[in-house]
Amino acid sequence: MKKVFLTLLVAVLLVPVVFAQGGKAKSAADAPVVLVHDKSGSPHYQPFFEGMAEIIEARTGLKMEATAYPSTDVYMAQVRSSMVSKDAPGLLTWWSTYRMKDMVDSGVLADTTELWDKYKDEYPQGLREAFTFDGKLYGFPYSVEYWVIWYNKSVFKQYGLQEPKTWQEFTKLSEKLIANGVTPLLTTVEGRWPTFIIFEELVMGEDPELYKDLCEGRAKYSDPRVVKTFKLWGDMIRAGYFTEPGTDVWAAGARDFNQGKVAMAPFGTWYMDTLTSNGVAEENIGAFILPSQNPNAGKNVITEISPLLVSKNAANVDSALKIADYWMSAEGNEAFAKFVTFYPANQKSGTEFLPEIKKEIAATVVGENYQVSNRYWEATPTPICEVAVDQFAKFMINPDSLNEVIAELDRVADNYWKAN
Amino acid sequence: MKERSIYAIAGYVATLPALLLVVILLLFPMLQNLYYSFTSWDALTNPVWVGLENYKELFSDPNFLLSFRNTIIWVIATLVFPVFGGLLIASFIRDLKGEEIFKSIIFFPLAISFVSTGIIWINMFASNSGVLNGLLSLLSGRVIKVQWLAEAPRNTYSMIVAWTWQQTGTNMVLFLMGLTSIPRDPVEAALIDGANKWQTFRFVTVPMLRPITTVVIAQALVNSFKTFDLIYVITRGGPYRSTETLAVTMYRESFTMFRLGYGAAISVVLSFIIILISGFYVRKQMGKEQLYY
Repeated sequence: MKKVFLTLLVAVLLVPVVFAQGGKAKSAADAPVVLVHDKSGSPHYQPFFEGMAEIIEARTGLKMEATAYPSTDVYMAQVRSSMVSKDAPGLLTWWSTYRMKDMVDSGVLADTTELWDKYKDEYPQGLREAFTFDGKLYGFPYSVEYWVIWYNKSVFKQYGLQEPKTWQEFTKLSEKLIANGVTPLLTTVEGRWPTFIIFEELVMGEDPELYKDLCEGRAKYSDPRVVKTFKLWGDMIRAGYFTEPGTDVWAAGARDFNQGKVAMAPFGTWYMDTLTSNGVAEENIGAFILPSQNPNAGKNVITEISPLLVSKNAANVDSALKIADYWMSAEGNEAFAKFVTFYPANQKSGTEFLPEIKKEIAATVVGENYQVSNRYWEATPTPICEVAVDQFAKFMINPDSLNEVIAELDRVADNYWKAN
Repeated sequence: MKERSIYAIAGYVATLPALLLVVILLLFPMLQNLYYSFTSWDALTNPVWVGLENYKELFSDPNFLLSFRNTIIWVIATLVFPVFGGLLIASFIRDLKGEEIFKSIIFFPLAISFVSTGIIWINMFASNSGVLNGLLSLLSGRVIKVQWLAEAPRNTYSMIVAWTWQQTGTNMVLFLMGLTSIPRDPVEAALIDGANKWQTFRFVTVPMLRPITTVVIAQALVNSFKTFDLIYVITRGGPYRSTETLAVTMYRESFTMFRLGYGAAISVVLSFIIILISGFYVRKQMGKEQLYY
């Protein structure tokens, strides 16, 4: 009996191995285009991509399936390793310019130059540059956001303040806030990345061409104009312009904003969701673009581009490119921008769905001919940026570390540009 | 013979799935990781053999040395607070009225995930609206905004408090098991002979707890060397890398900078340190005789 039982046990354990085989693969033409993303936070983008998939199928006949990853770190690691294989997704959310350069250099991205040329008149030159590498373009933007100064209207009203049009007006209102026990600006070193926000605004406000040169290695961090910017930043820190370095800028920060403990928050236009979801009434939220401290710098605004990339190795890359074609059109770009309530990247897309404050910002940027510059996070090489945000944190905690910080930034940047 | 052959085959086949899992999920990746540590690899191109370059860079990298120092701080703090604290609490609450309630309360934090623990303590330590600063402000009557997480080395010590809060419970339970299993006669004999409670604890109880202490300390050593989750959730190793430990540096180099070969080299060094120290400790504690029990 025992022998029979044991023999059966062995057979049962081995049977799955004998019969194991993969499922029959669909042909590339039948398979839906896979779009992968890491936007699993709040709001979760999965319903948006699913909604977009329905629109795409109705317009083009092509099927698209979205797959969400739980965290950005996991997403980046897994997507990178899949890009070199036939399991590469058709479309993927990513970050623009230098954050996608290594993918461009390793040849895993499909060329989208033809699509950009098709929609040449519908996208600003600045956006086009963010996707251009050695004369060719890769990926495309599904939305853009601007970086503004959000402010609490009640606080401004209480102290008789107006949206500043010049740097002098900005410093005057900030000093009044400080005198009345209100911190002007909500900033932090927590999370590492937010430390570049004030840096990029001030360098751009000194000279937007200097900002571009610095990001692309044509200027050094020890450039006198950059040092001057750091010194201004240091003076602002010492004068109490900013919240404590360990400040939480999300839920707790939004609550402080709502309670009038801090008057302004320098973030992308997406930050409005953070404010409203933490109890700040929409009618109490205002926004303006930070004036340049150097009047000769003109009017400048930082933009944050949200791209989708197309994998060259995806089995149905042609279908992915057809989807990209529709998505880049005014209709397609607007359709998705409606889901996320971000600005469509295509300038011919409608924006009626946006909240009033966002429409006003867009009207200001376009109507007053603001020069648009790419966000520091994407505009400069990743190896420099990752060190820079830590050095900016050091400076924010101790502005007297200026010389050490600049020396380290120059060292890292020089090493990078020498090798690349 | 035939019956014994069937038994033997059945035994091998029954262990095959577990063996395959260990080989596929542990041994093979370890060997693969060792190979990658000698390469330069970004996951987008093929690994390029660079020999010992990663290791040479490692030992001259000031960030690696800072991470190593932070790791040693974590190891020492873990031995002092969660381990020693667990022993003290176990000794105090043993046979106390309400022992079960105290045990449950102190053990409860271990049931919370590292991520949730990190988020709880971010809210405790936040300089604006944080619970700790709020309490201090209330008690002192003035606004207090200590930068618990933004200033080094206070940020490391703050996270050690969070770690101690979570880890003490498991050590307490293990020590309680140990205290329950040791015979009472030697303790009573010591007390009768005139030893006070501290002397009895130090010279009688603690030596008899040696086997369980070895397990607790070995476990604590391994866990503290590879501390990652809590630090990554709370500070991500910042600001300016001041709270990075070796495990966090390994993660950063591998999955933020995509220098997977360099990250692999860090993991090899870290694994070597853990095996060396914990193996040496266990061997010394148990003695050769006890190893072959």
